[in-house]
Amino acid sequence: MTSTPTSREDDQALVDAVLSGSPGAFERLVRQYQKLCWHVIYRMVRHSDDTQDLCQEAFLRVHQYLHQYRNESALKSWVAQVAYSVAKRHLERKRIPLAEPFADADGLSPLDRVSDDFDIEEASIDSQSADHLHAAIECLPPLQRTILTLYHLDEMPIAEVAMITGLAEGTIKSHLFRSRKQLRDALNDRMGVAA
Amino acid sequence: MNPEEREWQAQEAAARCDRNGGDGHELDALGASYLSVVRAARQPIAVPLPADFASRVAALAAERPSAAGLDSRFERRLLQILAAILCVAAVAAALVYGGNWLVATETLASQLDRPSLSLLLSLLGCLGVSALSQQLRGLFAGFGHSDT
Repeated sequence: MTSTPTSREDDQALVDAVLSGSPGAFERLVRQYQKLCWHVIYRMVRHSDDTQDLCQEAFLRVHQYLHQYRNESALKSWVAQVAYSVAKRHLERKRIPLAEPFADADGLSPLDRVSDDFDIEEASIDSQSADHLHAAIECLPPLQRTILTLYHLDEMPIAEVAMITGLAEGTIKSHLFRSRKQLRDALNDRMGVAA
Repeated sequence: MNPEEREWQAQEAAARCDRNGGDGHELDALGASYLSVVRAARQPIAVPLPADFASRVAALAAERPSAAGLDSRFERRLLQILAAILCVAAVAAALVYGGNWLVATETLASQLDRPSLSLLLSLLGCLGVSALSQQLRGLFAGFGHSDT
């Protein structure tokens, strides 16, 4: 988990403190949600310098538009939504596609795109599969990477992931299902080859 | 349960098992095949967040005015401009049409001093209809109560 769970009352109290200019309140908000913001943006852009700049931009936007927060959703989801939209705009400016067709459409699995210079002899089977999976996750399109991270690492429910990305819950489930299946199948194929 | 639904359930079982710190013994073969995938997806991101990130962003934010402040300043300025336009319009209208308004007001005042017979009859008619409707409403209400 990246942030301690907070109630809507806690969220509103923090928002009110920031809006009334209470000293240290905004820094507290940033500390509370910086890891989540970092996860979302890093998974989208995969570049540490860009992630830092975009994360900063996301929090400055949060600060600027916090008066528009209506407490209809958790503050965590609202901040993640801002981070997602900042990262998405960055990818669009760079003309990087957000989602790509899955392997069954283009014939390439994420693990097919992982560099072949990985030394199978050097690694144990467990760490070898873990390293391959991490590399494979990195090779997934930005949207699938981000959905996997929000759901598994940040433990967000599907409904919240849907709210953050602006997609339907069915679409999120479909991305999760297909990403996990593809990673598992590709790993099985790889391990079969290695064995 | 169709095969896709079964596979989805297996993926979710593996995710629950990993979140609860299980070693996968309770999973069936299909669920166990997803354990390494969900473990990899739960691994923290290797690139760390700078330690002073929050304080740096907070300092930057403090230097910038919030949109709420900008909005209220903008609204105040807009109200001042609108009030000034209204004042100018009122003065201009008084200068252009002031004479006509004076004549019309004097005519109306003289008519009100000597009300015509038809005006008085209309007023009495309105009062009579209003009183009659009040009495009829009371009568029907009385009938309603006596029925119950």
